[in-house]
Amino acid sequence: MRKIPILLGVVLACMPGITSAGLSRQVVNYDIHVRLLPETKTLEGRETLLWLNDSNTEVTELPFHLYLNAFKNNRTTFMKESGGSSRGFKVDEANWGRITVRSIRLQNGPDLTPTLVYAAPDDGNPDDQTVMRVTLPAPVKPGETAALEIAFETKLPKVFARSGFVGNFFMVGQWFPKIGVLRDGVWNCHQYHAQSEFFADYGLFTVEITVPEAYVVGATGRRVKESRNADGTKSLVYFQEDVHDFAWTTCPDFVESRERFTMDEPKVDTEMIFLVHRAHLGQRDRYVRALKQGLGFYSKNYGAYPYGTITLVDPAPGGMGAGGMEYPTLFTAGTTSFIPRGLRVPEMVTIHEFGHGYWYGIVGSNEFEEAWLDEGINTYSEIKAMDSLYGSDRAMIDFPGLKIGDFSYQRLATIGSGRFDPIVRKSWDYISGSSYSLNVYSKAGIMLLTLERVLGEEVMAKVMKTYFETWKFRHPRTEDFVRTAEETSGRDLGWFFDQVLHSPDKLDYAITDLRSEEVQEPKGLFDRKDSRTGAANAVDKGTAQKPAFQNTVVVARLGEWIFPQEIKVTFADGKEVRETWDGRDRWKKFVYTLPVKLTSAQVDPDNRYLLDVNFANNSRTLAPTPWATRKYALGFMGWVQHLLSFVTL
Amino acid sequence: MTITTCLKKGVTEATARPNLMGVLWLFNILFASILYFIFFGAFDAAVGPSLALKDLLKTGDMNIILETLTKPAGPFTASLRMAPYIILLYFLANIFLQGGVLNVLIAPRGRDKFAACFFGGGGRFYGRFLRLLIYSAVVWVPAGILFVAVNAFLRVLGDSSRERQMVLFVIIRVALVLFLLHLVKMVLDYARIMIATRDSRSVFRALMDAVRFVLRRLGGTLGLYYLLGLTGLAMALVYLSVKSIIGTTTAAGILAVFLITQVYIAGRGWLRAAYQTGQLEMFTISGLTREAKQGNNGVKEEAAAV
Repeated sequence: MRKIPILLGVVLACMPGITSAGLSRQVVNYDIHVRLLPETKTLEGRETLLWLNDSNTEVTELPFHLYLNAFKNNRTTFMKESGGSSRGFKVDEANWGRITVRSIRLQNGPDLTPTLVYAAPDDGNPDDQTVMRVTLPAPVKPGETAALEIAFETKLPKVFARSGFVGNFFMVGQWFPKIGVLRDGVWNCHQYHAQSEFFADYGLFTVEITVPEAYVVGATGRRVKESRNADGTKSLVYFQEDVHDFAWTTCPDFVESRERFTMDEPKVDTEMIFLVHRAHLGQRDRYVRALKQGLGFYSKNYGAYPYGTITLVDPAPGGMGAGGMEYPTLFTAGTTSFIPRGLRVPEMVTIHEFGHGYWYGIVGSNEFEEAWLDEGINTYSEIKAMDSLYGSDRAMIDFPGLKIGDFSYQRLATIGSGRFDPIVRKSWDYISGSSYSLNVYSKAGIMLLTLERVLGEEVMAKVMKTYFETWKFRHPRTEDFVRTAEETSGRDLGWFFDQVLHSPDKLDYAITDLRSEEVQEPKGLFDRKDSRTGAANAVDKGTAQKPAFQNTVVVARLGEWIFPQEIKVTFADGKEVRETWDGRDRWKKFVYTLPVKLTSAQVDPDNRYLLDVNFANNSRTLAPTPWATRKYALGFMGWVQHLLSFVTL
Repeated sequence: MTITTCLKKGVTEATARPNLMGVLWLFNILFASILYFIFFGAFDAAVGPSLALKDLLKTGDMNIILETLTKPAGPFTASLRMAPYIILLYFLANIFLQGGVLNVLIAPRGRDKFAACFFGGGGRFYGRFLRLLIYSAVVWVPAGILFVAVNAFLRVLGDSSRERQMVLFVIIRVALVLFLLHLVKMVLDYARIMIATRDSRSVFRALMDAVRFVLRRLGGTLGLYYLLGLTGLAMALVYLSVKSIIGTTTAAGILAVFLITQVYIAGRGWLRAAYQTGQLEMFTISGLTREAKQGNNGVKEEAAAV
């Protein structure tokens, strides 16, 4: 309590005013004091929030996210939708979580606590308390700032979905009352769903964290002050501007190390902070290498990493429910002591979650409503990073005899993404959790790789850089990405985006028929004009002709999406013909009567449409390779023989 | 000494009976080839006419492999659907093979025609060995209870935040499962030997005798079992090393790998014969030879009749 004036002094010295020239339009300014009580797994917090009405509308009520109430009981929207499990981790019913607002008042003004009501704007669930609203005594006019003081207590759940504790490891995310986003004069403040992440306004965060002295702490932003207290605790003050969330973690078993990352073009100078659990120190080098690679790749391809720190958190054993999660300037990775080097999960998670620092952190899209804008774009970036850094044929799995790249891995998920949901949909409206992730992550990622092949690598690179530059520290929507792609490429891409973003269908073109038949010599009676009299005579034989072949290629559209196609037809003399087809009809036939046979035909010969769910049927040949089929069938039989001899030995 | 003697006997006798190895290999490939044809047909329908096949032969394009394997009506799913039936049929056929193998091994070498001895034994002991399989529940159930008890104990001890301990517990669980599987299998092997050598119809009694036999000579029986297991491991290592140096991008390479695999599978047949002979010797060396002789007399009479 006595540190407040000092803390405010520190903060005021290093932070600009709420709307001054940061990188972002700073709508919020949080000043939070929080104390961890490890025995009871609770946080005691006080929060001062300055909120700027950045709209043209007067505001009479303020909604807040109380995310951790999702873990309050088994009837919350999160728990009902998830069935009490997330990514394979189950809720511990002995350790529910919650957040209780003790009081909320206007600074130097009336107590708003009596006006506090819970709301369930998405599903009307009366048992869900993840959104609260308070009514203001007087409207906040456009351009005005509301100052609020909130006292709250948070009980952390046993971690299974992002936030919580296990043993003495605490991952503290979505832990404080967080105001919604006023967008186009309407509040955007959704409940916490099983298949959704978050959305918030940019601003400044100053957070003083008090923990027992032995605990190692990591948090969003940079540490600006550290002091020891008489009661055996220590207080650390963190500050960060131009972010839209604040998360922290603590554990006495973290081993902290720091390394500087610098880059000349573009200019990057940031401190990498690694909080690796003692049990996983043998994996530390993998994290360090991957984070360096991620920083380099994203800075070079999208834009310079703008913050002074990036913190990698390695969750404690048993705390993997907290792993693989992004927060501004901090992310959780995840590994186990014995994960082999050939299985690049720690690398992939590190690069993916760091990447969210760009697609979610810096470009702040709405994860509730258009999750593909962060997950899909980030999956695209992750595939490009992983495949270029570790090899496109082995980026994910690299064992002797079994190698799989990130693209192949994500494409497999795309093939299995079903035909129920499109890529753009509110996160909680997907038919299932798997449909959400297959569409929002993999299919959207492969969609962007397809777009890259359609536009060309150079143009796509410009699209991504322009999108990043235009929308950094702002809240883009799907149409903003589409517009950026169209304007940068100078092409109308409606045919592409209308289908792939908004329709749940699939892309599948195939060569369904390939024939080469000798044209028979004419037999029977034909009407021919007599050359001398001009009279028509019936003759029994046509004129002598060279042997000719009727070569037929049938291309079919087996999926619903319509993509313009190119077809390559190859003939026995080595000549190639390229045909084009708008791809609209269900099929198209090409016939060539030539003195040579055709040998093969291939639709999309340049393999541009990576969204095609069946590459094998894209081509057909009249000279197949039977030994390839034998190779795989005999290989399969070998496995069966081993199995049979094993079960009976 | 007993273990070495039995091992030596097992290896010598199995080597001296190539027919046995051949017939075991033949049964194996017969059943496996059913799945081969199903896989081949489905794979050929899915990828056969495609240009992608050329790449598959040379490099193994993972995109094509994965999309083909995961296709709902693809070769893998088609084969998987049939696999349980094939394995079940093979399992039933294997009971016949067990009778055949034992009958060949207990008959004096070279006295009877191999086919008559093998198929005669397979038929004669089929019903008894099938009953043994059913009665074996009395051995499987205690083994299962033991595993469940140890598993529950480890769960109580386990602390998910201690990663190394969790991994150690997984290793303990796997080791225990394998040990119990081998132990019960070994008991059944000796029960079959007792049934065959005594030509006994008291299957349950043979099972109980086998349990007692194994438990009284646990060191010897397990030692022999795992020594032969090591022989199998050495064979597998040689097989994998040879296989790994052969490229499969040409017809010759594919054929070579196929042939090497068949040699290895035949080798597994040899190992199986070695197991049975070694165990038979272990049983004979022990003090139960009197019953064995009675059983042998029965077999001799049977063989003479054939």
